[in-house]
Amino acid sequence: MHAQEGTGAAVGRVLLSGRSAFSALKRADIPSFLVAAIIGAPLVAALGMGLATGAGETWSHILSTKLTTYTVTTLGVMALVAALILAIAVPLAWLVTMYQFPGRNVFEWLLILPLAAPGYVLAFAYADLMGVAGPIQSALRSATGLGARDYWFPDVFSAPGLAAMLALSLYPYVYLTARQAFVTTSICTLDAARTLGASQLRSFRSVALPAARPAIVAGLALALMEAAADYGAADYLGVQTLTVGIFRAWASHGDAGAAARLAVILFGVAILLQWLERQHRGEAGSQATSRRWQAIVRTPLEGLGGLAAAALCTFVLLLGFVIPITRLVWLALETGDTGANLSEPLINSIILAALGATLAFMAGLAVALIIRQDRIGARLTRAAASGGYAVPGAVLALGGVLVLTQASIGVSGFAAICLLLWVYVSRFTAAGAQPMSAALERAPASMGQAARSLGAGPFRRLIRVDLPVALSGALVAALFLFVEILKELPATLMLRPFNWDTLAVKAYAYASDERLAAAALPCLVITVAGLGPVIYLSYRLSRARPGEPM
Amino acid sequence: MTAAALIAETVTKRFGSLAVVHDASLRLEPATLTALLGASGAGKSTLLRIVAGLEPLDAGQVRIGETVLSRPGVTVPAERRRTGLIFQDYALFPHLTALQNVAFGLTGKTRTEAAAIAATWLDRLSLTHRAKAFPHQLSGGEQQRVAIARALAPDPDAILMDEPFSGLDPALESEVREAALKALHEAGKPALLVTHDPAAAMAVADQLAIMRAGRIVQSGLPEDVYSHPVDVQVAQALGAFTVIALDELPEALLPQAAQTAVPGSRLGLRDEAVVFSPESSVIARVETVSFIGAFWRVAITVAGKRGALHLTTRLSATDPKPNRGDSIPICLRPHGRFIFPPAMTKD
Repeated sequence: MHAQEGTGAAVGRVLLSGRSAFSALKRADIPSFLVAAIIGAPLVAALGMGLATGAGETWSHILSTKLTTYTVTTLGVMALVAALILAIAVPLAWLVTMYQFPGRNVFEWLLILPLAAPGYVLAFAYADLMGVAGPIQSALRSATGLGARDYWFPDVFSAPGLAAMLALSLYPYVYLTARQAFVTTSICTLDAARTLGASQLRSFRSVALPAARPAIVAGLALALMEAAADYGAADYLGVQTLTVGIFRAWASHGDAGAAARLAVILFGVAILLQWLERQHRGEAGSQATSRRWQAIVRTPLEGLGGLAAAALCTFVLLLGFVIPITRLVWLALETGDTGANLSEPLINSIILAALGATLAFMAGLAVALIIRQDRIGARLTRAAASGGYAVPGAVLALGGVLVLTQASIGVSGFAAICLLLWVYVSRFTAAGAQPMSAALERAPASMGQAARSLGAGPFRRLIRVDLPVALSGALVAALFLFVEILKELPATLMLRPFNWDTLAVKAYAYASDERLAAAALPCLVITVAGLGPVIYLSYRLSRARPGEPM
Repeated sequence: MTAAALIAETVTKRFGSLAVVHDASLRLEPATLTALLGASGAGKSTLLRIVAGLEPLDAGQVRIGETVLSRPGVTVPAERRRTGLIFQDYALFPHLTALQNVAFGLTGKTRTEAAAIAATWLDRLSLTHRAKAFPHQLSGGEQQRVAIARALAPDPDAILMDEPFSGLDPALESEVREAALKALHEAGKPALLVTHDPAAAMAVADQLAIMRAGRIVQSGLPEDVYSHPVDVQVAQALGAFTVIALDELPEALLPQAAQTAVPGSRLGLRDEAVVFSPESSVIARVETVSFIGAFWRVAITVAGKRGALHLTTRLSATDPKPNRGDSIPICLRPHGRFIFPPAMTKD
């Protein structure tokens, strides 16, 4: 399992695979209960409030005017994102795995670059590119002599526009899982299919695709959870999704109860996705075949076919990364409108990301070690971590506020920053635990038994064996956490102390004020930071021996 | 300290209602390698894990000398029973070097002492030059030798091995096996080897125990078990074996003992029991011939009382290659020929 796929999905998998028999409650469960409580409190608070409080005025208003819109829009956007992602990612993964064409080796890892830019960055860039006054429409008008009202042009400020932005930034999730599945599972069976006379197309349709389906669904579920959690792009493009609704109910109407009720619906969507993913995982028994691996002989695509394949890859890369990022660079350079001094938001971002990553890292390490046990506390910790990862930051922020309000602590200044860090921990611990958990999983069970037979008791095993093995995934975990927190928008927007802005908040604020040129620079900084994990993934991709999990 | 025997007495282990190990007894003597042979699922790995202290038992006991290690409700944990364990997948610690892996179990010593002892063990297994290498930098054979050194270094009271050589390719297997046996022999401790490979078991073992469906069905010297199998399945577990109903055999091939055999008895034949004999009146027809290296393995048919009987025999590779359809006179000799009364041939 590679670093991107897992997180929510992988934690869920661990949850399911846990044996049914566990020992009774013991003192040993106390640490895991504590960790579960810390991670799970915001989510439980938000859901509890959503289910328990009576309906206020805002809720009646939402119910009569907006609830259907929010829900239908969210589901519609997700369906469209799913269709687009499948159309982009699966053929690309198949192409780079099975065929040889000009540039294939480079495209294989370049195609995950769009992961570096969050959806809202793409939304800002495309809003500028495709707007009435933007370069494309201007060029169109000057070439044809038409007026602005004389022709139809696709509108980014629409639900399909949002879906396109999210699909372009999230398709790498499915590209990665599908490619991995194609490489590891189907080569021998494909050879068998071919010797049985199946054409390439038929062996793809009836052999490779069914075998890869669980992996594809897992990647898709993760991408759709991210899509449902998006606030920046949806709000900027004026699409009324549930996340936007939660934010408005709380920030504009000050009605936490109404926001919490919407959060319950959104949580339901996340649970539905995890359930779907599990349904498909059930049939994955055929996936784990032998470790013996046969070299893929890639079919060369000659002449036009090869050029078409290269052109398709280039097209996706241009749309998903090169064009929007180039536009942002150009905007930043051309206008010189860098807004206010960026150094303060940059420092704030780094402080938050560093502190948040450190805390989430420690929580992640604790979770990775705890979920190895087969106890009630371990299950609870797992559920808390995967639940936190599955819900949008806006929901957790809401829950965090509720907890503080209950404790009569004002959400401002230092307390607000602490709360924000807590929400980060709640949201991202699963992402941090995943690489370390994977490192522990790769270690055979006999390793712990070997340590025992050499006289190492539980504590010595933890210090000398489990901890060092888990920490081999530490660098990746820390890197991912840092970048995820740097990109995070909704929770930061809701909770940050007054006038205490981060890069993401600044970018969002400038874009909302129609100062896209000023938003460009923070967007670029965030994207460059996001390149770190992406380059690491690319490196793993190029180094991974086929047949081995990444 | 003189080593004591490691003894498992009437050990039973149930998973739910299924007895995976049933009333199994083993006595592992010092300086003796006992091979526990059985098909997968026979319960041999579970028995090993019980002896190692990784699983509790439901009945019986495990003791070393007079010290009880396991009895129902009481299990001295693996980390306190001083048994060295060697795994099929090596189970080396990936974050430690070869030397550090070997030194891991050497507690209660200074770092320098531990390193010195570990270095001695690496040297014994010809691994001195790989001391600073990490597991992923070692070849499969090297990894297994490190695992052996690691298990032996703390001077355990007994050594337990679970399919230790089966992950290796044949050339390496014999090399690693030699190194392991030499080290084991020098250690003079009781040792248990769990395997499903009869050739490997008979090649290395001083004592052989056959396990089937959770029970130890026969144990003894490998040559005794081979020549006096208690039933057809034990005989089959140790090599190619043909079973024929006694009353199908032509009179000329009936052994003396058959006259006193219970009706319904069967005859079991190893390849070496069927021999070429110019004086014999029984003529066999050659069906297929395969070249094994030192000999030809020849499938033959003989006219029986109720139709053709299929047997195999061996001819020396220095003899000319027999051809399909050739007629050869054969007889049966006592070595490798067994009569099983009906009660013992449950299959």
